Amino acid sequence: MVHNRIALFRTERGLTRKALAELVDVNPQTIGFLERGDYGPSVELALKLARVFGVPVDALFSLEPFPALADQLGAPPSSESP
Amino acid sequence: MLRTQKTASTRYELALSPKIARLLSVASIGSLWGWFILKFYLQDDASGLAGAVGMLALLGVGGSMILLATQYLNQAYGKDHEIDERERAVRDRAHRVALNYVLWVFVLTYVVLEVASRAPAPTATGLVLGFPATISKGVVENFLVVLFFTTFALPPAILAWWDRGDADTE
Repeated sequence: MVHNRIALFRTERGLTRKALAELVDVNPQTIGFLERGDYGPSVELALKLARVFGVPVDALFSLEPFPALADQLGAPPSSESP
Repeated sequence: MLRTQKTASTRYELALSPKIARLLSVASIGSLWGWFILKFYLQDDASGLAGAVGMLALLGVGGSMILLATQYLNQAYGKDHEIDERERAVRDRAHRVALNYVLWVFVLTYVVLEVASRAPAPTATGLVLGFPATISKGVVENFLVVLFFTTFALPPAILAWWDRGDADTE
């Protein structure tokens, strides 16, 4: 299964599903299927989505579940950081 | 509700809710098979019942035609460039299910014909499961009508059943 952060990036960019769908030339329902993890996109669609958000594909898609945002925000600062 | 779909060529389609489309699919496909089965056993019936059974055929054919005028027609029979990659995958799955349906209808028909030909006291045209009904040219024609309409209406009907109903247009 392919995990993704499409909903997170889409919300952050202030895009509706319909608007995002138009940007990548798919049906708005397909964005819903992608966000729920009910459909794994083709490489082409994954690249298009990454390009829309301006991020690398692996920032948007992963074979492993993404850590929860709350966990990331609450994580103690790394000792290596300056 | 009639709406237009924005594509390379403007298309008009009935925007039925998935629930209504599901009900319509069951009513139309069920009516077609109901008509065929009842008509089969009412071949020599001169009463008004045969006419009433004919209404089932009208309901079945009419329902199938309405179903084919909905948004599910394009999803089921749309060309590759008219639908996106997920819709193509779902469309192909719906057609595989429809193909299985046709294959099972053929297998079942073969079994029924075999049983009919081995009935205890077959007539020249055969008895079917002990009922005094013969398989005439008209029966075969009715069978083909049912098979044609149900096979054609099945992919859109399957898509209606798989439709989650969320417009995803937040």
